[in-house]
Amino acid sequence: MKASEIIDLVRLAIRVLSEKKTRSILTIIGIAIGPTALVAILGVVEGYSSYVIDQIQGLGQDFIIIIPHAGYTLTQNDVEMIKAMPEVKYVTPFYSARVKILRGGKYIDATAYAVDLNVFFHALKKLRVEEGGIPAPSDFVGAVVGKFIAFDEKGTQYYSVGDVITLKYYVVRGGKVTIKTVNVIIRGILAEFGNAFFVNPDTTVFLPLGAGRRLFGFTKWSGLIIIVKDPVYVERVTNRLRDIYGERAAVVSLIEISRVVSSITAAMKFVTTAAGSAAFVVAVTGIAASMITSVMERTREIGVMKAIGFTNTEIIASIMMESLVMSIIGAAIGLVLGTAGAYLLARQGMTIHGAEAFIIRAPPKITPMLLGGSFLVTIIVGAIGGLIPAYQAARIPPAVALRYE
Amino acid sequence: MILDNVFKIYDTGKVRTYGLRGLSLTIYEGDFVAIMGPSGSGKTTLLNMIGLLDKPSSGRIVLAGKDVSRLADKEAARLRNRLIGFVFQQFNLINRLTVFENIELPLIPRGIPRKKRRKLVVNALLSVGGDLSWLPKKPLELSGGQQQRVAIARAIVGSPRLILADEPTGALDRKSARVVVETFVKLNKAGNTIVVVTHDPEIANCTNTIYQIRDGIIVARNEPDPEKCILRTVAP
Ligand SMILES: Nc1ncnc2c1ncn2[C@@H]1O[C@H](COP(=O)(O)OP(=O)(O)OP(=O)(O)O)[C@@H](O)[C@H]1O
Ligand SMILES: [Mg+2]
Repeated sequence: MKASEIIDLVRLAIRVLSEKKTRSILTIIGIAIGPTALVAILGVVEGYSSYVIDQIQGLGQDFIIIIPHAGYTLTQNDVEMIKAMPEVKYVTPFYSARVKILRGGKYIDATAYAVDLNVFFHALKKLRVEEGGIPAPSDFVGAVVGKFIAFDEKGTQYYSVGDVITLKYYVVRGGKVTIKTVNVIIRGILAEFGNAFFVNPDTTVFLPLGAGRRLFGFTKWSGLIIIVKDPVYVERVTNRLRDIYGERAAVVSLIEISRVVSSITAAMKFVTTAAGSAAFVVAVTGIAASMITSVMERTREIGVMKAIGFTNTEIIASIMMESLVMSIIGAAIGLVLGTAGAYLLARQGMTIHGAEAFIIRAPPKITPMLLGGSFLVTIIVGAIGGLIPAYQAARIPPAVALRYE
Repeated sequence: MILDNVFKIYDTGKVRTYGLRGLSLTIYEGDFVAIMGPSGSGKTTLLNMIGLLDKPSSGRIVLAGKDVSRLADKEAARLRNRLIGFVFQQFNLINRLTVFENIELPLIPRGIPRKKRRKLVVNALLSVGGDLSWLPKKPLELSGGQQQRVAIARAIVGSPRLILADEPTGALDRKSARVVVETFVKLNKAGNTIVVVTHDPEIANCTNTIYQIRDGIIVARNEPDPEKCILRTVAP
């Protein structure tokens, strides 16, 4: 068969499909469901999992965090005890609080984080100071702020190094809520970090540890950050700490979270692939059913084509073109809808329930592999769906087809 | 074209029906032949044999010096495409396609480029007395006689050597039937071999030879009477 003949067969196929528009459109919708689901869900899941892997790699895989449960207070004894472990490099307590910051006449939400800044910035090498510097441990009115504290999303700068920034926060004591105000001086502004796991550096005000107690009047550490000498120790140390603290504190490691996320995303990929395959099976039967009807209605016409001199191969090709045209359109629609759907789904975020609930927000990852693969599978589905009707059409002897009423 | 002792048996499980029982017939190049006979006598079966649409159960068919009785499907399709043009009682045009697209259909398996096709289609339509304004129309926008002329144009567009027509005027009124016969006479004068199956003596009488078929064999060969041809009996 020549290329020009294939073009003719495609043209004839399109004429058949546009004659029975409703049937063709319904069939195409049936075909599009598979690639839509595949691209949307796998794109989102892939986005989450690569995001998590990035985060773990960026945020230090050697991190362990202890967060005391209500009724338990961490003390210097805990710090000393953990420091004594041979695998542990650093231990630093931290205070954290949700605060509101007045910026450009509006209050924005932020987190205040008081921690041993030297240790913290040493451990998180991806955290970079863009302007100014890190306040010294004794400088308890100095702060280094995230990019989106100083700037808004459009890039307008509200605060510079040396400015005073006012933090408002709530204190609950004895069932009474009071609002307190604290002023700090900006010593440094961080480079944009990108959305992070449970600390979002871009919207955080980092203060030296001493400021937590002196400025905010915190009496209880919010938790301890432990950095081990090598990521391979994380599991061992985590388990030992769990044994020690039991129900008194939650022990969380980033590696563990990454494992949870990986297993969730793997499960999601499996479920999606299974559901996607089901959608494809439905598509195959949909195409086959719609085209068997179409071929039967055209029995006499197929007889005429044969009388005119179309060979069986050419008849098969012409019927297959119909299913291929439908599956190409269906695949194209599926890729577009799937990509759009992925962005919509990704906006919901994924909630991971652990010691604390984290919401992961990450853009979907629509790779050429994912698009190409989904497209290819859909085309194969179209080809399989068209096979039976095509052979059915080719099998009818011309003399019989011409007698068909 | 020679058919020699051709049998066609339809074996549908319980019953065996004889379509043809030992039919022999020779059609010469340039002939204009009518085949007449009662319903079920085997006219369509015969035409299917000549047209390579079906294979004989036994016997021999020779077309242009070549034994074509046991051809593979693909070979038969190729020969049909090059050598034979079909005209049917029900026109059998494809109604979703335009007149132009219907006529060009036989040119597609030949892989003739589109530019050349246009010329062939126009020539074919003009030589059956058609009007070029029909080309972009759909067949159902035309009258029966016009549709049958489009069907004849489709049959001749690839310059076949043999035109086979199965009751081509069966669905037409007298005036349209006359136009179709006129077209056939013209095509025959231009050198085409034509075999036409008909119940209508006024059409058979326009040909050169009339064969009578009963129960799957030729029972008589008659000379047509040109005076009783539809071209004489019906005014244009
Ligand atoms: N595909 C088939 N299967 C079974 N029997 C068939 C088949 N085709 C034709 N026959 C039988 O063969 C015989 C001849 O049929 P054919 O169609 O050739 O008749 P015909 O002369 O064309 O009749 P008509 O004038 O009604 O068109 C009939 O008895 C018919 O029933
Ligand atoms: Mg018949």
